[in-house]
Amino acid sequence: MDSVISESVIEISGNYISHIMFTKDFRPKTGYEIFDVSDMYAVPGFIDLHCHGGFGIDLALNLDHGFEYFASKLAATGTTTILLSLVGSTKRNLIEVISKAVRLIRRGGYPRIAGLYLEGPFINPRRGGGIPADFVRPATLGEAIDIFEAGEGHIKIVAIAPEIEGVMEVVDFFHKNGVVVSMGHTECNYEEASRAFSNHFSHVTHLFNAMPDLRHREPGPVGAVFDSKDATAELIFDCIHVHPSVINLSIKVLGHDRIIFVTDSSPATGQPDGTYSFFGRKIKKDGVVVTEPNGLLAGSALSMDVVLKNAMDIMACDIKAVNKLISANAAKRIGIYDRVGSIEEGKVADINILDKDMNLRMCIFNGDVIYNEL
Amino acid sequence: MLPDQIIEGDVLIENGIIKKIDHHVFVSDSGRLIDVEGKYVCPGFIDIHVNGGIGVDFSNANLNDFLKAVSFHNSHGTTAMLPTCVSSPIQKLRSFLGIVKEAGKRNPSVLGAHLNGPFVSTKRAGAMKSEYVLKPSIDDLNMIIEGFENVLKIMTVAPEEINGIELIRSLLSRGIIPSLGHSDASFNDARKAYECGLRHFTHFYNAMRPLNHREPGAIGFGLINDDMTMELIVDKFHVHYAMIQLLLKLGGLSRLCLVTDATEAAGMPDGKYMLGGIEIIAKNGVVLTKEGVPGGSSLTMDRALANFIETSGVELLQAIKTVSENPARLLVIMDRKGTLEEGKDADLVVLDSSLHVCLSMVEGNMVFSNGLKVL
Repeated sequence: MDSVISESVIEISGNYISHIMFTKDFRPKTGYEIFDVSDMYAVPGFIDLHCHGGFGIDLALNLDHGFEYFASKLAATGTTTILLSLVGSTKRNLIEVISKAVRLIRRGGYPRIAGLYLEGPFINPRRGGGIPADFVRPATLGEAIDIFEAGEGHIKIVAIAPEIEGVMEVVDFFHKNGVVVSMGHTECNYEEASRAFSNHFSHVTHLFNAMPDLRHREPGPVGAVFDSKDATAELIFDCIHVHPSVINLSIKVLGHDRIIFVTDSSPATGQPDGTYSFFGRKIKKDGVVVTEPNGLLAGSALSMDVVLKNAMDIMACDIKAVNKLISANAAKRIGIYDRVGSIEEGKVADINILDKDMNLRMCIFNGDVIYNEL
Repeated sequence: MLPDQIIEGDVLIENGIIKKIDHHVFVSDSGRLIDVEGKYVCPGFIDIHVNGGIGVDFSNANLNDFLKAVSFHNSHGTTAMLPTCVSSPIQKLRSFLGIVKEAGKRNPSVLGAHLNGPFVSTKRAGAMKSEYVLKPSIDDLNMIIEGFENVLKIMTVAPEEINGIELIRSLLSRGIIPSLGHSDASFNDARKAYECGLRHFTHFYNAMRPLNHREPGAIGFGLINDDMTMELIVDKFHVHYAMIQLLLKLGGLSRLCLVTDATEAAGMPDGKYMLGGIEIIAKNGVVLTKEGVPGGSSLTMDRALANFIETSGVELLQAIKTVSENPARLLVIMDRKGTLEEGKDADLVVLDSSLHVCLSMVEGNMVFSNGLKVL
């Protein structure tokens, strides 16, 4: 399915796309509201696999009170499905955060939380990036099991550094239980990374960031991903975390099916320049750059509508390909493509309407218009 | 070996030119027959970056020794080469160009020279003496090449240096190939060089700023621009095989020119040698300065080709282009060299199935043969 609809009418009944027909075959039915979006694009709702918050809200620390406000602002960016990216200061704290998130998932509503993305705790503290070093712990199967059970089946991706001690049985455990094991916040070399890809690692957390550079005598994890047959990779597409030419390079090497654009959004997303709190630390937003006091990048100020515009620029306005990288691939990665990630009859009606300049004009979630600037 | 297929057949050579290639060529009476049954007759190798061999440093050799090293590389299948000199005092560069010119008259496999400097970056000088590195200057360029305009074929430059772009323009206007190398160029520096016509890299990946995801540098620029060509040192040390694979994924096969970057240590036992006035140590196929900086190689072209095939999995018919057709295109000599085709120079190398050189021929002259029956 193309996932870009033109010269057509999309009929939505309840939560689902009930019929897609050519405009010439369309006969108005009673009881249906009609939106004329001629000269615009209908694309699948955006799916952000890696999202920590936005609009001043640090989701991991503020799920109880912050989520509703976050959700009320998110609709204007076209994101309809997210994985909640979580960190926790201690095992107890992490489990508490996971349990809150599970309750939130059960409650339903906008945005769809397709599951949880644990960024740690089994990562390399030397490559913590925005994640405080005291949020990082050695890998133990005991903690992995406790975390997994707290997640009640909702943990979809776990970022792990393959070089840290005790990691293999943890990786096996998560893999056996259907969790995508992602290489991230790592200092591993090419050999270690290649071995990891043949031992259940199948995804990479924000490729290029929080890992060693691609070097000509030590290609590192980046070289190993480029060399791997089917590992998928996230890219933070704010033109700051990764140079656009390196995004371009990655697309040339990995193709359109293995890259997933994410925001890695911090609380600074959607906010004016200023100082915010992220994982309990101060961060500074200056334009699209979000940094810790030491100058390191700390998440982004991105939203998916901006990712779309950035992607259109670099991918020669091939909107079909862009859709793969901002919705379809993400849906496939976490096993929900049968319901979302494309505009097809029978799928959930998560649809964004974009004008010619790629501005979001309407967001439909679960069949309901939740944002309308038409 | 034809440009696009391997056939079983005969090659007829007359007056240094390939007269005929066919499944079966009838010859009259005169002339010699060389039996190469079961072997590959390939286009001769073209090495556009070679500093010496068999104990001779081209930058510091008399004509006799110079020719000895040329013959050594001939015996490893190289039938055309650009002897190369690192950054050196201008007078030294002039005398080097003079010797290259003389050597070319004695041995036609010497096509001209590659100057790997002196207008490069001290930040990426590698195993060069940084006091010999000069800021780009058209006046200095004129001094270096006066009288040798047709000898200098490639000059390695650092475009980010002041006047680097002017230097590139000047080289292009004289028909000399500017090559980005020994350079700390950023992505934008590389783009500026590209915009004024630079299309080639000296030993890609080596002696340049590493690719960083926020500042991709010249490497990042080169990887994504598939009309750029690059030298590559394939000695299993200078460049990791995954980085060769990366280039191939980016359409690199037609862009690659394998080079030896051989020092005088090529063809010699492990030990201490010299490269442009700097002591280098050859050990187990790796050549380093005392400080541990890579200082050229001990490669020969047959070895480079075998390494490339082994690490990339590319078949011989395709791989051979990286040592013949691609450099010939770069040097704009495809009308005479680079492939085995009727009417071209009889520059050829015969390889057995383990890619050992059994014979090499420069413009019809057999410069090396080993174990072949001459009937």
